[in-house]
Amino acid sequence: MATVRGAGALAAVAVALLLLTGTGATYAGWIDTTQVHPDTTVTSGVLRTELVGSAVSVDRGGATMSASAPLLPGDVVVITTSVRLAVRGVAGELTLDATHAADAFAARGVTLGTPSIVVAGLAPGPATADAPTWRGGVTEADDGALVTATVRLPVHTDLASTAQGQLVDLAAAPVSWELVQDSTLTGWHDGEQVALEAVTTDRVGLTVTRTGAATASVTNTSGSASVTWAPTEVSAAPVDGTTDAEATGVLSGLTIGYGTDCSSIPRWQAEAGGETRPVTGAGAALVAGASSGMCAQVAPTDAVALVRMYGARTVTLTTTVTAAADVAPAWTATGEAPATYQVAFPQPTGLSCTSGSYLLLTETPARLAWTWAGSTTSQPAVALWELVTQRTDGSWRTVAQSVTSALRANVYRSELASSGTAQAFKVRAYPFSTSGGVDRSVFVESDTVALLRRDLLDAAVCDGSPQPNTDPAAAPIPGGLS
Amino acid sequence: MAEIRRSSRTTKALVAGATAALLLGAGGGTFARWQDESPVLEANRTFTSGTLTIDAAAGTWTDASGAAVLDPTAYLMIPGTKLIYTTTVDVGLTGAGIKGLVETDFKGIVGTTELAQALKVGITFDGEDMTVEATEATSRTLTQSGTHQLVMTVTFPATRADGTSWGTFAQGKTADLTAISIELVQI
Repeated sequence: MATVRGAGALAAVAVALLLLTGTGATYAGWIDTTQVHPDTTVTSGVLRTELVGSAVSVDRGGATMSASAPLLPGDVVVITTSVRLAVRGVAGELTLDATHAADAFAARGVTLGTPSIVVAGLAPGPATADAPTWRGGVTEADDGALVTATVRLPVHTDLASTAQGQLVDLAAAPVSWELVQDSTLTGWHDGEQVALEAVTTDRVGLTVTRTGAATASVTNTSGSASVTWAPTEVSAAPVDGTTDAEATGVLSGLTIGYGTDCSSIPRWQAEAGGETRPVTGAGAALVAGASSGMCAQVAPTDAVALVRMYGARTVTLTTTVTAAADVAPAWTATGEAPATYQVAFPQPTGLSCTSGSYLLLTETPARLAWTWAGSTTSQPAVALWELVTQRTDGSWRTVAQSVTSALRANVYRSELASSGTAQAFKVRAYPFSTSGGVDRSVFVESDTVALLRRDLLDAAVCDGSPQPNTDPAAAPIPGGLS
Repeated sequence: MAEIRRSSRTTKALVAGATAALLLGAGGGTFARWQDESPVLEANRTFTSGTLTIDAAAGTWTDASGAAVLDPTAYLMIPGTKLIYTTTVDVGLTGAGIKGLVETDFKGIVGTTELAQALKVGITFDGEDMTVEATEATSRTLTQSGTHQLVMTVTFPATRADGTSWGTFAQGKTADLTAISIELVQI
């Protein structure tokens, strides 16, 4: 037993030595410890928005109406939206953006006036309004603030017809709030998308539908508003070979009146003007949804002068019709009634023949003379006069051309068959010049045909009186509205 | 066996008596005639031990601009800001050839709040980064006494690690900083 106990004691000492030598540093020496106690709970700030409420209404002449009321021109769509701010330990910038809402109107053809945004509820600070957006700084002073923005989108008073009956889906084009720590969008940001109920435009406006050469139907398409309408101006645009200057000249040479029908005395008259002439006269009433006729009464102020200057010229006369709402909101709508007007291009008339002679080898040619538009001196509307004679095969060849206003041409015996057979002669008038000469696609012929032949003395002489010209091309251009 | 045990007790008693007489004869001065003595050392000697101590002072808080933050618990951190805690650590090292190894034990931010996830913590010892929440302790060897600077920085990055905005992440939250334990070990 004593031996066993001694062995145990030795083992214990050995283990102790092993333990002491086995842990290096601990065995090596001293250790001291200290502690740094920041003892701090770190807390973060807050930068948040919370949507409180939003609504859409319609301001019609100062009266507030539901957004379900069809919009009329001149109405103001009013969007109100409120957010509550939480701003602690941080400053930021609050933005209200109604761009999408404004664009939604434009996408439907509903033009807006200048929008406005008013924001209330913030502590005084820097802010910039560039409607349809608004930006303002926020600080801890705005913590808990209820911020309300009022966006006013005025509907234009002169809406295009395409804007009628349009649904503007503001739910798909929300107004947005955005609160950012920095404009660089680092740090925190929060925001709200404000989906709003849709609004619909009324079918307000005016449609003008052509019903005839001089007539049109004017319709007030509004479902609720009576209007007063009137043609307000007329303009002319050139057609085909007519020039701009000629179109303006034609417009100036016309007397233009309008009535609700073609039999009454015109209640509206076009006044003097240039490319556009104002139309004056008392407006006519038209209740919601009703239609009225409109008749344009167009005639040359001086028919002869107009023909001489602008014979065969064609213009498009466009009459603008304007309707104005009888009561607030004030709005107007316009429509156009186009018509084509051509100045008459009459036939050369009074073709006369004076026989020539041939004596002692001296020739006096036969002479053909005519009149045109009651004048023998001024025909600027005629680009070219042409005297033609008929061949034996029935075709026509040019004998003489003239751009003068003499309205006569000579026929020499050399133009006539030596057999003494009578030949037909007629006059053609071409109204249009082209850059390369004369536009021969449009012309009018004399209403009669003269017959000439060589006589026994080989002179060019008339063969009886001129005969009627039965060629369809001889038909005059009557002119007028079409 | 009983007889054998009695014989043995008698023998032991006799031996003890003889031993006592010998011990008394050897230790009693009365038996000596002459004696003398001489000290080994010239004078008394005092042995003094060295020191190995470390002691951190109370620190101060500042923000990124260096402005004092008297109440850091009331300071609301936001993305792009930082809080800085600065303190001094006195190290006492005396003794022949003594060396000390400074090691920190710091868990940084504790908790699972969004703020705890967002914040970044770093410490430096005399300007050198010390590992936070590392498996391998960062250590530094010192050989003499001195005052050292310990700086802890709590940063709320301006953006997420991928550069995107925080949105509303970690707003109105709290996170706790653990104590920093600094150990000086003789080596």
